[in-house]
Amino acid sequence: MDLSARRQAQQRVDRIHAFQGELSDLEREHGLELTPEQRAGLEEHHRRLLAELTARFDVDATASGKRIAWGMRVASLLGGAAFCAALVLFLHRIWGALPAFTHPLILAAIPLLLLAGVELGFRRGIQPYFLTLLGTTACGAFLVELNALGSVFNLVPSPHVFLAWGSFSVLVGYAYGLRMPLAAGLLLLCAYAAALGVSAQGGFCSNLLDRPEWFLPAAALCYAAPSLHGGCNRHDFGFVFRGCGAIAALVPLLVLALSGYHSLLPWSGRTMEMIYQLAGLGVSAGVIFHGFRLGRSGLVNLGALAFVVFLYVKLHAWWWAWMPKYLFFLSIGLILLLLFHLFRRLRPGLPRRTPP
Amino acid sequence: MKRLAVLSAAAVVVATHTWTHVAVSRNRGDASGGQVELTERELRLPGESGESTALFLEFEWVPGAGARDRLDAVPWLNSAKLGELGFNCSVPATQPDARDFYRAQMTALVFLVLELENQAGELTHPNQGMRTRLVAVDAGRNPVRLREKFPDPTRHLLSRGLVRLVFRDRAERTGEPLAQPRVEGRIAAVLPGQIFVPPPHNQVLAGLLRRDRAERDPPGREPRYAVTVSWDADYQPWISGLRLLPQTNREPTAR
Repeated sequence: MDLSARRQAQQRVDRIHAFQGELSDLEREHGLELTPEQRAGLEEHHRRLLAELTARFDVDATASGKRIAWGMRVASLLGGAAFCAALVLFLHRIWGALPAFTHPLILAAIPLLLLAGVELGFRRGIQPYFLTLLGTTACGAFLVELNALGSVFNLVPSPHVFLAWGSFSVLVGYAYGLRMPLAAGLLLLCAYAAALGVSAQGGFCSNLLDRPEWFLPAAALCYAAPSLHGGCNRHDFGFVFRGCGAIAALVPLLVLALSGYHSLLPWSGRTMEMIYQLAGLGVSAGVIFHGFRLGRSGLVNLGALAFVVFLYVKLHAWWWAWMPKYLFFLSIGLILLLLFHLFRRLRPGLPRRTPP
Repeated sequence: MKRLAVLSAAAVVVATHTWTHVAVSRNRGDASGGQVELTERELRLPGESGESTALFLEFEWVPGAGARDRLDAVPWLNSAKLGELGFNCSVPATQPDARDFYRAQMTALVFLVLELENQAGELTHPNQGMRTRLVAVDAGRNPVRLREKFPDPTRHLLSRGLVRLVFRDRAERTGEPLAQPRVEGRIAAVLPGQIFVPPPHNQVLAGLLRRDRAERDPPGREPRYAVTVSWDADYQPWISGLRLLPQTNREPTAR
């Protein structure tokens, strides 16, 4: 089943419910009055449409159905986590009693079986949420099992493990149109680039934040990918690429803004902190304005959060040492109020995003 | 497209496992990192592992001859050696920005030489307690050169490890200010820090582990087992043999 079509069907159902609610308010306020024939025709059309969408896409056609679906999701999330914990603890319990040759076989079989489970679920047309849950579990299992394989063979961590984890997650995300595995995969691929950089300098690949700048090229590529290649926009993936690119850039910039001595560049730690505080403010402002241009409130919110954090860091560096503490927080509060006012003025200009 | 992506995801799992197996099999054919028999002094049973039956032994080592524990300074890790490992020690520790300069330096992944001290002593002085005989004596970037310098693979082991710089203006144990700040090299870890005990060797240790959890360790106890460990061509360890050691029934001697 095409998950994009299903998401669109659910959005259509939600719009029908919103329209019905608004129509009933308008009729009560005598803003619009339909003739009995028009009303009957409209109701019949909506009824037929909802029945068709429910039959074809298994969408939640009623508000109560949606509420129940949320309850089911929470229960299934907890249930899924409990099953995973049970499996891991069971394997821990029997691991020592299993012959040595079965260890790698079991470790390889678990992600493959979970991948087969995702495929089966997809073919049977299970709800997208459960598919996401299965896909994410498969990615998590691959992550855990590669760690376990490394422990069984006493291997020293290698940067290439990030490539294996990242590519598996991206492929699962692309195969089934799942955003969460894709996001995890993209962040892991950014981590791979950073791990390669740190290793090439003679560092330990797990200490990714020893030189956070190694994240930045991969983060920039990730952010720009939807503009460079149309395939990155399938299933509304453009937002995932940009969101992950922004996170993979802003977190290292924040680390550098706080401890500039981690920088690759030859200047002093203090100088680098100042440069990266300004760079962080600039990049987060850029993400906000790009989010406005694309009509993606997610990007705007992410950029705004980062902007506030960088602003706090910058003002702390400037004012904390000499300013009375109450005045410092008062200034921060006033600046945030000003920003809030600015966002409110910009909000009407936010273009309406067309559904994917 | 979808089918290709699913098959590629499965191929990533299979390829990762195949590559790991081929690499491990190839590397284990050559124990160029060394092969020694370590005892409970150097490979300790874990304190607590919950319900897990997966057994890992923890490496116990000291950073230099005469060192009491891993917190002790490493005398051979001087500025010449640190420079050789890729650290920049050009700024005097007394300079005002020295702290930041040394904090900026990354932890380095290096090859460590671990010397098994007093191999014969294990037989002649069994009551030396549980003090480890595994001592870090050198480090380098090039394992071939280290092996040339320490050619005996039954006494000198080559292992991966992490070395970092510490800028110190206070004493490690007492916390008192030093007359002059200094820069020290530290061995942050031997990698891996623990070693998996595969079946059937784990069954040999399972009884000891149960007993350890039931009763306290008597002082001056002798090592109860010996493990043959090889470091492969990629300098990663694996267990090739394990035996229980005969216990003498004399009163433990307090150290």
